[in-house]
Amino acid sequence: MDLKLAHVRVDYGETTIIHDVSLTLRRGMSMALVGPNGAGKTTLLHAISGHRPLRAGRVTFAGQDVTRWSVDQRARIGIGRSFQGIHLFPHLTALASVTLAVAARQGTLLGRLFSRVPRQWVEEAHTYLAQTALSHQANKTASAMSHGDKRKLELAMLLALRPAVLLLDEPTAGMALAEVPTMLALLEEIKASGAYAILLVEHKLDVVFRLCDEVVVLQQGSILAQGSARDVMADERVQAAYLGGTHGDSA
Amino acid sequence: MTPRTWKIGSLFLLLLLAVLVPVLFGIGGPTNLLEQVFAFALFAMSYDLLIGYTGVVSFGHAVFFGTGAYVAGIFLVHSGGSTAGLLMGIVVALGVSVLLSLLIASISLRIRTVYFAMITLAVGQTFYVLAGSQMLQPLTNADDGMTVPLPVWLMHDRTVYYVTLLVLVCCVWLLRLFVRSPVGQVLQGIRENEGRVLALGHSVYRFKAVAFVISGLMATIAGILYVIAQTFVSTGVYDVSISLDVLLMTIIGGVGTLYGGLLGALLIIGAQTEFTNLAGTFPIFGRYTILFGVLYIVIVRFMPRGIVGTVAQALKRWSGQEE
Repeated sequence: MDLKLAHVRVDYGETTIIHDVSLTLRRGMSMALVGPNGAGKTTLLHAISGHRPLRAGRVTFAGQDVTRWSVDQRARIGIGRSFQGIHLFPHLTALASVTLAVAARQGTLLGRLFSRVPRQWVEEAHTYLAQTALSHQANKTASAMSHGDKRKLELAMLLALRPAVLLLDEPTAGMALAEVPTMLALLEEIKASGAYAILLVEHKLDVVFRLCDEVVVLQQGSILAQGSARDVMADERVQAAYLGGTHGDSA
Repeated sequence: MTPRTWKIGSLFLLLLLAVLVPVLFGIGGPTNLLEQVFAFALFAMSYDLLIGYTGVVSFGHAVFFGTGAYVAGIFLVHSGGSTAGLLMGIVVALGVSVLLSLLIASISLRIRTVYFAMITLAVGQTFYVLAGSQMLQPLTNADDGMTVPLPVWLMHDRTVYYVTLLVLVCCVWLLRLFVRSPVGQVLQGIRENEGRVLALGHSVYRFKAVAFVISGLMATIAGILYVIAQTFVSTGVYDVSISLDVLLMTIIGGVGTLYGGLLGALLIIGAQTEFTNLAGTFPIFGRYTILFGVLYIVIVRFMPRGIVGTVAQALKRWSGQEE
């Protein structure tokens, strides 16, 4: 179930944001995308998830060329993503939100126009809420949840899709310091399962070191360095460009 | 009592009252008014399925209501009011409704909401002009409209009343099942955050099209009930003002509540009738649309959830179930 990007280029109008990026992500692997604001990290996730069209290059998943597939088609074959900003259903409960994700795996649903939501879907949704430590929030609407719980709900919905690829866009962004360790523990557990290929956009280097086997540094839409976290951080070009010559606290 | 018990109790009481109206108040004025209310209540609920459950705004939903009324009317007129004519009219009206909704969906649901609203408005006005055109005069009697004969078994006012009530109850039950189904849940997700539903892997366009077809079918059935209750159909059923009246009913009753349409229809149709009667003595009441405008502003400003939505929220708070 490899995800491959070959010579990907993405433009916004006349401006090229991603230049000729090629990457391969395999099941069980976790890769971090780092770089300063505007480097093109989120745009690259958009290109993979189908939220931005490619100007050139190809995206293949499990041997299929998905370059021209829509967002929902890519999600259905196993490319799941979370978003940098909170992107939930404000007035639906956490349980209903995760059940929607479970339902997404059940085909067109057109044979269920007048039937109830099956109990097993709801039970399954409960297991994802439990996995993300949200059981006690099941009947709360997303708008009434704390920022940290909203982030966990994003993750619960993503896991409920049972994707092969997890595209995580700053999963700890905006979380209170006290909430970050819980999220990190969750992400480590997900990584340890070996069931997913993870591509993580993250600014916090401690998170990157803990979660990722490989780091890709983006600079103005191009890959500046790629390799193990330690090797990349030791790379003089990376230090010169982003870290001011030392291992700082921002990528 | 839980809000759910309140809801079921209120609906049961309303149904019981509706069943007893002919016994308590006799046949005639009240039942004729309620038959109209039943038709518009179903129309408003079909509209709520779009605006309240899917977040799609249509300004031309009367195209389905009008098509139901016209197609059933045409078949009844041309069959001399036979039962076969009525049945054929119902089948053809529902078929036309499905085709029409799929056609409108295919050309407009992929575009932004505001353009969708404009396209539905344009389609509605096209049918309004067509229904009144001299070219179709042999079929529709053009601007003069048609007096529609009913089958013998539907001649009695009491029968018409109970038939329209029964159809309304069946449709409300179906709509309730639909909004609680997995498809209904996805539609509510679309209303909340269309992009997120897409990112989950649901085909938003397909679900919107389903909502549009079901909503169109219910509006068509409402149009059929209307022509049976009124035994007359004219171009007015396609008029944009009908779509706006139904929007008002839905908003006053409560968007996204389903049952709000019942209350909204009762209030608006009841008020229209009362104000029209009062206008004979006090001409100011002839301008009741101004009052509706004020009512609309008051509801949107102070009760954005409409009457049913506000009461439901108050009951939840009272019973401690609100999050």
